[in-house]
Amino acid sequence: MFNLKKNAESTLGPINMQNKKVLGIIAVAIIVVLAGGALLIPSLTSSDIPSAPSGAKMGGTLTMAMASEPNYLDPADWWGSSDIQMIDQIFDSLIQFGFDFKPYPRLAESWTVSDDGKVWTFNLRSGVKFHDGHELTSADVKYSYERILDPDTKAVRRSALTNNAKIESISTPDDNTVIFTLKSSNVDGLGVLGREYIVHKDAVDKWGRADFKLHPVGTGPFVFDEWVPKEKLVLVANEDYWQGRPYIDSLVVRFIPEVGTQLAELESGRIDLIGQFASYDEAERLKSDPNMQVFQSKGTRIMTFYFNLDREPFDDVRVRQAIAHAIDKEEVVKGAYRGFATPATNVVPKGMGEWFDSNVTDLEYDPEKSKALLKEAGFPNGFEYEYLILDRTPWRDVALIVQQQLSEVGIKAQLEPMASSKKFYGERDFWTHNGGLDLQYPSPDNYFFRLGFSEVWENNGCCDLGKVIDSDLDAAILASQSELDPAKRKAYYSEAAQIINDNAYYVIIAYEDILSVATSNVNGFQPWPARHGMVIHNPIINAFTYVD
Amino acid sequence: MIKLTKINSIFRVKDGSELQLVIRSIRKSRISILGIIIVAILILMGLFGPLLVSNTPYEMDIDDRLATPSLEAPFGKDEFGRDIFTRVLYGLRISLTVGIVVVSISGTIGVFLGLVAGYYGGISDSLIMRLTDIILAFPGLVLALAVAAAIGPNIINVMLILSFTWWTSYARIVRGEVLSIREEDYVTAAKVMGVKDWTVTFRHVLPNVIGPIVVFATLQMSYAILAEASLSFLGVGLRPPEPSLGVIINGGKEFLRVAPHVSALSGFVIMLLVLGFNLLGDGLRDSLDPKMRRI
Amino acid sequence: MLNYIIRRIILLIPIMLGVSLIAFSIMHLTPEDPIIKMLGEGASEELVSELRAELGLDDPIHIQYLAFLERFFVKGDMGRSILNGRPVMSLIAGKLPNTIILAFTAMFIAIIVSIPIGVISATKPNSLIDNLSRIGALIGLSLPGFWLALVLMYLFSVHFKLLPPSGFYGPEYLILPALALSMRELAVLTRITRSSMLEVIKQDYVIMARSKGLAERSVIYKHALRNALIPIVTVAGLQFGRMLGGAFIIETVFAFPGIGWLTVDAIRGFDYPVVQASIMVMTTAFVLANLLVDIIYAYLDPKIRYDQD
Repeated sequence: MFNLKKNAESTLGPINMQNKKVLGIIAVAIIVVLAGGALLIPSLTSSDIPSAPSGAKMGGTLTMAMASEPNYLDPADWWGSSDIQMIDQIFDSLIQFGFDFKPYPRLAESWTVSDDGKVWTFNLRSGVKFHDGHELTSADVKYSYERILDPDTKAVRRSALTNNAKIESISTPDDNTVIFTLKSSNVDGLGVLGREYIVHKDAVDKWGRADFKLHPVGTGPFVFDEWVPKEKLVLVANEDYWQGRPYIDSLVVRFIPEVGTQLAELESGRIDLIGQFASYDEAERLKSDPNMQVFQSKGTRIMTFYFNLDREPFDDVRVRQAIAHAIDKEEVVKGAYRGFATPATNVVPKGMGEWFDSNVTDLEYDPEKSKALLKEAGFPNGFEYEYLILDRTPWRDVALIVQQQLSEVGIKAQLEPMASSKKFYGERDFWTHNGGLDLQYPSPDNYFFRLGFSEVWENNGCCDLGKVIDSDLDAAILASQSELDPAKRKAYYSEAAQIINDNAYYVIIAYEDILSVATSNVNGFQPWPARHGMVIHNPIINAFTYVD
Repeated sequence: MIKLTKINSIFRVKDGSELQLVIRSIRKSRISILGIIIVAILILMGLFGPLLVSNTPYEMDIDDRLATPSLEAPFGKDEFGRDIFTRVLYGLRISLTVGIVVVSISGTIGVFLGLVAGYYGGISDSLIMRLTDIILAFPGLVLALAVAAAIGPNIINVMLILSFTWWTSYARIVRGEVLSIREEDYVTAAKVMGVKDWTVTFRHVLPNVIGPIVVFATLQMSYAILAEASLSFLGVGLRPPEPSLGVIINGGKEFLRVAPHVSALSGFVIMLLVLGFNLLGDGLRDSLDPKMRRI
Repeated sequence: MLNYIIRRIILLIPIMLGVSLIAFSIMHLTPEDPIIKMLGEGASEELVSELRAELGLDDPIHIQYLAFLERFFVKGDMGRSILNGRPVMSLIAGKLPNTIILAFTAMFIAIIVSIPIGVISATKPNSLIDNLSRIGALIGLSLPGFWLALVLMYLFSVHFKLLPPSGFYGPEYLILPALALSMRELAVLTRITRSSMLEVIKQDYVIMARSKGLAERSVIYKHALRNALIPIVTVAGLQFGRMLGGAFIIETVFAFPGIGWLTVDAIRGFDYPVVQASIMVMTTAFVLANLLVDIIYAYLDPKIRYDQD
């Protein structure tokens, strides 16, 4: 176990690191070949932790702005992006996905899975300490998961965890080994099982279920210091972090809901970083400011247009196709996103790297075709209906533009602001709606899971947001879930995406970019492609943030 | 003048018709006249302006986003490329509508309740006065904000909420007048002569309260306009894409640096409108009744 | 006098009950479910109904109201926020002092500017200062508060970068919100100072003082102003009370962590317990402030005491 001491010069120079990486990959390749495909993902066998780039300074405070405040800092309860961004600093999970969406070790040094994909074994790191001194053992991992699954805890994460992985049992043969036995095989089991954050029983019992979220104790790079509601959250560096102390002394998060205000604070130097910057106009301007850095990268959030297939006339595929043809995605990207997005072609966005398939075709912008389809469906003069919208940038802006475009083919959409989220998620009392759909874990499966997998809908009443029931679609999704070969898996995803496009079950309008801004004294920061995440200090995936 | 004498003969009044005084005072006070001019101009703009402009407040021209004021778009364009001047004209209409409806409804409710309270006294009086106290216990727009958020943000709800919370001043004015009249000689005389109670109340009370009511109504117009703009600004009144002046200002607040004209100009228009009504109300009050010269 | 006070206090009871009823039921008017809003998509129906039951949201409305009354007034327990589980009392206790500080600062600004101007205005009627101040006051009354806040923020934070635009981490953070908040009171107080002084100046004792040969200064400030202060002070007191509740728009624009912003956010998030508690707190403060002012006024003007409503 190497602890990065404060002023240590790195004995592992960059070249050595390269060598080790190459060696590691070769070793892994051999293992994969030998094991005949039972191992799905390579694991880093070495527990070396990369060292910081030269010039990295230790010390200082990083002040960042967040538009919304976390509700809970209890890993059993997180659901929103602000929650997870902070929880990820205070707690560790078993594995960590890198910026390349590949899994890397975190609390688990290595892992294996049985041939049938049902038994997952994680080997834990030793010597990891919680912020209160308690040493991490496999019992803590078992406790953390069982706590979420226990109905009495009423954990918010419970349904997500049970939906994604049907855990039959968790066993801990020794202090460093945890074995999850699933009821059915899951290709994404690693992502699902490895994501929950680890707590330990004594700390939870000390504060009690209701108050632990206000006094979180984890193993992560930052220790919880104070939280003044609606004002700020202060975290300080964990001196004994097993990946080495963070390069900043403390992380101060200020809650500033208005983007204009965030910007004013950034430009006056009172804050250093805005993780999710919502003003596209300003971003354009900041690009040419030498004191500022603008981070723009392809994100994983897709702006989706939903139909309620139970309601006329959206049960008619021609009407849906007509609407797909009526939407000018370029104009939406220009108007709602000022170019900080890309027109979408199918469910899997470009931000997913190699999973994106440019061969999937979508229904292009063609108002004439749209009108023809409407006529064919019995609406030569269009029709009127209520379009449910969420009054938030950029969702609302997209809705306004789409409304305009629909009116040009004769469809008069009355905008109805969403007074209750039940209308969309629970009661499904809507005709159409648009919203951003982001990944909860880095696999395309997560999109399809929520956009077309009818089995989920029938079982839980949730998640298949359009309530699409298409057996071909289901078949493709099911096939992808048990296909180990990435190329074949991608083919299934593309098939599913094509089915969605052809039937216009949804219209995917745009792939949103991730936009962050920081002052020039912030170094080493890399924005996470999904809104559910932020990495400040995680050397294993090369995240070293420091301030000058 | 002929009209006035007719009115005079219908209402038997104390000394010099209040109505006459109102009209005369308007003509005398310079402040009132200034107020009337401002208000009249804005009303005309709100009424007829929308008919004169060639575009709608919803047309977007994305390529021309946030354009600064020019000849063809005197107030510039907003974040969707919509013509702000057009939107402001429609917004004026919305503000004036809200104001008039609120004043009318709350005035009716208030006068009615005030009459009942003053006339019948006893329990109904207590109840109504307690209700007044309860409503007045809520500072500012808190009540309106909470109810608007709860029952849904649209213009009808806003008008209803404001009307049902602002009748209290009318009630108090009217009730006060009823109470003070009840003891007057001519009322007793009329009663003795067999004139029905209600007629007495009606004919004697109303003309004397017209003054304060008109003054308050004018001021209430400005409160209503400000309230609607505030609620819409906060997102619980009207919502985009409706061109309420509060909505326009809210839409522009993200762009203060690159395009301050979006929020600035619409706010200025609200200010003018409210100023007009305030001037009018002030002028009326100054000339009408020295007793009322308070703030 | 004592009778009057007692009577008024007793009257408070039905008023506060009515307020509590309204504060309680407002949030229940909505079809919105705070649990679903909080948990978002993917929340299983099971979990939602569990949480609802735990919070007692499924009981019939009148039971909930009675439970609310008992908890609030008898036990002094304001419950926990639905959105983040914090005890409401601690939330309010953390935010209310900030609003009080803000209101005091705004009142202070308003008073030190408006009274001298009002006095000068009254003593030199129709002069340039008088006309300017009257127009200025009218404009001040007509300004939408949120617009003024935006203008101030733009000028001083964005354009000139002199002052911070949000939060409350030091005294300089108070300046812009207090300025914006003070505008209305400034206008009102200027006007009332002026009219009150005008009234008083005409009074006999002022004429008497003058005729005695006292310096004009002394006449104005010692005698006239002191008497003119009565209505001024009462109005100021009322305005202060209203500021506590009415500052929420300014607080929201400046993200000032006071009880107003807390309430607005809670309303938007349908966080029943917080909304109920903060409305109760704000109205109580306002009602008490009014009561205090009324008592002072009654003390000074005995007629009022007997002029029963």
